[in-house]
Amino acid sequence: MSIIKIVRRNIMFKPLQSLVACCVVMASIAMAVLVLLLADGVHSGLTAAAEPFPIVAGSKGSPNQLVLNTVFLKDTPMSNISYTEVEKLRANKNVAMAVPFGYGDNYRGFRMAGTEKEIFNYVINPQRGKWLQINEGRAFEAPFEAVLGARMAAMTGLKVGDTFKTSHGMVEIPGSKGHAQEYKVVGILKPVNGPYDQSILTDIKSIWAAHAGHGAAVQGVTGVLIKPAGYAQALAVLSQYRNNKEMQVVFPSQTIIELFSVMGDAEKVLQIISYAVILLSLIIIAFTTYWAAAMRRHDNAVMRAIGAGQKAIIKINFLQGMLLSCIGTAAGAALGHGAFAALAYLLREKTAVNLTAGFTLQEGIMIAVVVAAAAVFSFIPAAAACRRQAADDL
Amino acid sequence: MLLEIKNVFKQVTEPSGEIITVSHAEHLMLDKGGQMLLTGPSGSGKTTLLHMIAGLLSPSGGEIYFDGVRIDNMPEKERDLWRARNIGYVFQKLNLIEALTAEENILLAGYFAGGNMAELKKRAAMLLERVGLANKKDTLPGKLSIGEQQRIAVVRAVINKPVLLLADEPTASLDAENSRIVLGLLRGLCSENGTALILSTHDESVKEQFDEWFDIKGGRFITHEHH
Repeated sequence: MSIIKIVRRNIMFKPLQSLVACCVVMASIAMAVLVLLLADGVHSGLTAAAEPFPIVAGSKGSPNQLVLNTVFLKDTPMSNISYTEVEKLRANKNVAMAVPFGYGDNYRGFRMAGTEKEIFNYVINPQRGKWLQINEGRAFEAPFEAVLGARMAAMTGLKVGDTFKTSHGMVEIPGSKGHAQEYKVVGILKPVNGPYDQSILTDIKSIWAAHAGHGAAVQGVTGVLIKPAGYAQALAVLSQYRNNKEMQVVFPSQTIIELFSVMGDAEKVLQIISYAVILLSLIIIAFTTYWAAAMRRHDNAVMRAIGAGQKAIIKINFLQGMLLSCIGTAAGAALGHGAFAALAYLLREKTAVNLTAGFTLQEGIMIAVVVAAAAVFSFIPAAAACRRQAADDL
Repeated sequence: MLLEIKNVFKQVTEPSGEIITVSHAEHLMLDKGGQMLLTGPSGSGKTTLLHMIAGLLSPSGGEIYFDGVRIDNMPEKERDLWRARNIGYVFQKLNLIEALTAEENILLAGYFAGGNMAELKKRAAMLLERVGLANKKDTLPGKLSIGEQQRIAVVRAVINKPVLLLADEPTASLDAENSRIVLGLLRGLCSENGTALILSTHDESVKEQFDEWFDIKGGRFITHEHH
């Protein structure tokens, strides 16, 4: 016989009641955790996806569309700029590297990104190392050779040596006539944990050749990835192109921040919801622990009558309340992370954007507050039980 | 002298504001190992008096002495320990912990008194054998008959060999046969262990088995005249 055994017996004796108490706590914590993770994960996921693109250049128009095109491989490609602009950028002393990207074709919905071999030497920063690394095969050397993103290769089953034909446009339209040229898979990339996992990289000359008969601008590019020579040089590039009538230069991370500031109200609403959910979970925990303690009032009186001291009664009630609350909280946190992982998976399947959110400080504080509240809510009825005259509850 | 009660009473305030006395005992004494029957109609304050003796309810006035020590004004913590070591209690309602098995209910009282678990288990097994419930030790109270539950309650009350056993209408919900068994058990176990017994009842058939009883309503001892 021990306090733990009494607590365990009490919990197991009314499994449904214990389960309901746990589930109520679990559901509210899971909801709060999910809201917190989403608020954090969407922001960091988009920012991480933009990391390989310090600056992008493209034709004048919506900066959001340019970022969606180049960073996220989404939306209709903007009109092209001339390849000579890439050469001009390369000659710019503020630019360390300029790599063109041309979009416009797809294979089974996966975007072709025409670029140049130099992209395989692109180093994001010394810590991250090379952005695109070959996992299998080699980089493309000639037109109509293709290097597949890791996820794209896994999803389509294409292997090095296989050939495929692309279609014009961003999505495959059943029955539509594709390009006549055949691409040969020469390499597969290591995962980059971003949208380019779902891309097909090829020499931009392939795209030009494929569109030679479509009346598209010859030797045009949709966007240019610019690696500035340094922070001051990045600002200089931005300044040089500020008044350019043909081209725009944007910082994708800045665009994302602006996007988030436009959505600021939505984020605030999300934050208010998460606080409301946390408050609700505290109320629920208070209610469930009080309810459980009220149900034990008679047993407490019996135990006191047969010799249990106040300490023992407080221990039993406190442990029981804490155990149910902690199990519910742990299960809720796990469920919240599980639901977030499922949502992140769905989003990754669709966009290859990785929603990354681990155990945040905010979540840690929330769990600590909930556990502390559960401790208080468990202690109050336990102490109250001892203040009552045992005879009143017999 | 084990127990002495001097002008103990309990008053409660009615919702109307009127103060009423729910239990009153002018003077009552019990020797060590003695057995006393406490009688009176329902609502006469028997249960309240037993609760006050056990320290489960504070009296509104008066003094209660146990083995020469005043207990009615003892601090709560001290009184809990005193109760665990000295008092056994059989309730009017069965009051077994539903989540615990028959054996665990018995051991619980020993655990709170700080007893040696191995010895308690041995004694519990012996007592369960004695009350004919050895095969029901792992059964939950809900699966036992009322008579069986009351026998478990009696074993629980005597597991620590208390100095004083308080039994509040222990036969109230039992049939004649079970009533006889439980009463015999209580008196037998108390005699064997030198435990004093105060047994409250309003049952006339129980009175038949005692020579003398204390009538709470009249506030005096009545000697039974055997026919």
